[in-house]
Amino acid sequence: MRTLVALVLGCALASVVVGAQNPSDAKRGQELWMTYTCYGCHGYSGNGGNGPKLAQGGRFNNATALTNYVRNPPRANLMPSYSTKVLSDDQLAAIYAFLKSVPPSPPAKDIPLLSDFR
Amino acid sequence: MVPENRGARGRVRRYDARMPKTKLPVDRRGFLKTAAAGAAGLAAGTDPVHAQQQPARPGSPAAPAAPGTPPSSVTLARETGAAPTSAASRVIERPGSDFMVDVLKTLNIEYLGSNPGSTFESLHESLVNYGDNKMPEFLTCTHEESAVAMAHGYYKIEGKPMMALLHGNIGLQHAAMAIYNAYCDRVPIYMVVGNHEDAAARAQGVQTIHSAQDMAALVRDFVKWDDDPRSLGHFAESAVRAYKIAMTPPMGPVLIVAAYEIQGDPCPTRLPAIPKLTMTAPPQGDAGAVAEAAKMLVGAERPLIIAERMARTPKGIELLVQLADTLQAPVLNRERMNFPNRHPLAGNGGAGYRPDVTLCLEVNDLQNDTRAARAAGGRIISISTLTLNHKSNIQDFGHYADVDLDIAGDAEATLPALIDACRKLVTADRRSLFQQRGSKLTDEHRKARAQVLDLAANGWDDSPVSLARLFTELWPLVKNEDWSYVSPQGFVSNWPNRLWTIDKHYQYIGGQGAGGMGYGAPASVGAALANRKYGRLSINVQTDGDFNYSPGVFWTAAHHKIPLLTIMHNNRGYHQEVMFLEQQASLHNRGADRAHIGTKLWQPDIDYAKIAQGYGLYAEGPITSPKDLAPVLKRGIERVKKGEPVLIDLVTQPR
Repeated sequence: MRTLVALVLGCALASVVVGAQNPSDAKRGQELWMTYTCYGCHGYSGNGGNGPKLAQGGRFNNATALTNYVRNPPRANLMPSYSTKVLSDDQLAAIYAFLKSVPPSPPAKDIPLLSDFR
Repeated sequence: MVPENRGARGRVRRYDARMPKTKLPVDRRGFLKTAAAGAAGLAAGTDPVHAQQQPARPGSPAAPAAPGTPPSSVTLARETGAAPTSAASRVIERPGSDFMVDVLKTLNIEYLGSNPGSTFESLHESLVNYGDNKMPEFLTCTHEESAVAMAHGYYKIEGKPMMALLHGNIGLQHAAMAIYNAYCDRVPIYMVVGNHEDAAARAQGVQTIHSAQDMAALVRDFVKWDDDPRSLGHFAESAVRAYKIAMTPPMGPVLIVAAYEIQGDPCPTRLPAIPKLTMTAPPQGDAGAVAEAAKMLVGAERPLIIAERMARTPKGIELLVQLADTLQAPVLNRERMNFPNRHPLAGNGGAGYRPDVTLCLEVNDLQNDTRAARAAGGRIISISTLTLNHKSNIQDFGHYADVDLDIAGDAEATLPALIDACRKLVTADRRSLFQQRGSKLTDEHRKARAQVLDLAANGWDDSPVSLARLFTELWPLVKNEDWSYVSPQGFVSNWPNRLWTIDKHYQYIGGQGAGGMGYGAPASVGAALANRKYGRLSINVQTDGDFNYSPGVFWTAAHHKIPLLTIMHNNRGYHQEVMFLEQQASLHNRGADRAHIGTKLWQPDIDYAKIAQGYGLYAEGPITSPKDLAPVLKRGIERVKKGEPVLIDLVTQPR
């Protein structure tokens, strides 16, 4: 299953994993991100969608903060909770490594097309 | 090829005691004359009296063939129009369906969408020959759901009904989902359905299984009104009445059953009168209740206006701007375009704004708004026609909402009186306070705008392409055109509303009504059809899940030369359901690693450009890189402006 997802969307994500402190963790995290459909709300590279942007870690300063949130999200009707039975701390740490590895998007002020909307 | 075995095999004319015995406009002529007059059912081929008495012989046109048996030469000849029929064919120079066309022409209906069916073959022929295929013009649809959903989109641009002509039983059931969407969206659709009403005269086979004792019962729960006329005079009255009922708020789809017998029998020598259509003025809220609402609103410290299906016409938008300006109250727009999105009062007032009086205009389900108002210690006013058309089985009205002031009346029709009453109550002190409030709300609007631009930059260079990138790239290409966004926004994270400037009614036409998929593609084609005569650029961002319900509507767009730019929001799945499954997996303490099962549209990926090309559209894609987007969009728009439908397959982020 993981291989399957990686094949389908692998090319789209191939450029994402750069500059991670631990590339193997980031790669594993990317696979988990796809397998556990985190992309459904947060986008294939964590840049947001229905859910908030988590690329570069989003508002979480470290993997522990992300893990604590995932275990017990304040609004479970928006963000599903995942127990250790489903995603281990180690797996969530890998997901965090992946998110940290995603290159930042350019700021809005540097995108000429967005100036049309100011 | 005749779809769904619905061809008029073995049509048997019944003998009708109501037929005048003399001076009938009926003649007996050879078959060639009949065939030349049109293929829609004038070839009778059987003696009417004896055909009733004799059961159809196996292999005869009226009898269903045994499974696996190839069609007989007679059947083939009948279906190809080369039937060697009896020399004694009857010709009906003036069928009842001609009169039906006369009636329909008085209603000023531009188009009808239809998938052909034998229960309305006489009317079909009358429309295209006697009626010269004008007012209404017959549009070939590949599915009844498309015919009705096209009419849905058409109304939202044009403000008047389009017609859908439906086949008995099966066609009506195909149409049912689209009818339900229109019902919940308070959209008038003018529908006519055929039916073989005389059980003794129905031929064995399709005529029987495509007939019903009470045809409209199949959809009665979600049409505003229906009737089954028993004569041409009755048809005339009901056809005019149906239009009037459909267009009186709360609007809704209406259905007239056109009996096969009344369509096909000769007109009487003296035709019935066609009643004049006079439209009903929309109901206005009670004057005393309106005065009370004005008092509450002018006295409020933090009023909020919520508009859902409020603006029936462009005038409704102007009126809402007047009310908001008078009160300096924020306006939260839902569903259709009710309020310009760049107006400084557009929005909910910001995160800290806790309304003490909330005015709901044509809000369908008040439960959440009432709960929110109560939580903030506020009061709530509703002005709506909803209570004027409740049905029992369909519960789209939601929970009972204990509003403080409930005014039964059309919101748009009531606004002039409400604005006038508010203006009379505004003192100099209140005006000063309103100005201070308006200034704060303008700041909140600006802040919200700046946050949106930061969000739009997220994932700017991602592949698949972000939806914000799509709408940002589109804007410079359309902003100087007279453009019309003709698809729902929920599945594209409301980016058009968040980024673009929307200030005309046709620039955003809302969603499905009942959330039924299969609306998007045909409604966008119907809206583009209405936009065509104004030379507007119609833009449809098409979700892939919705596309696959009724893709044949793109052939209809190509065949009838309806210009429309369709950009696939190809996220390769039913993405809302991916998220639902994630929630359920979490609830059951299981992983979401199988949430793709039953929700994804991959393996193989669907090639939408190829499908569109097969339907006769210019198409490009799949496009996966944002760098390729601008030139493809530009090429597409150039072709649409020349009058053709175009599809661009864009592989996108999920939302």
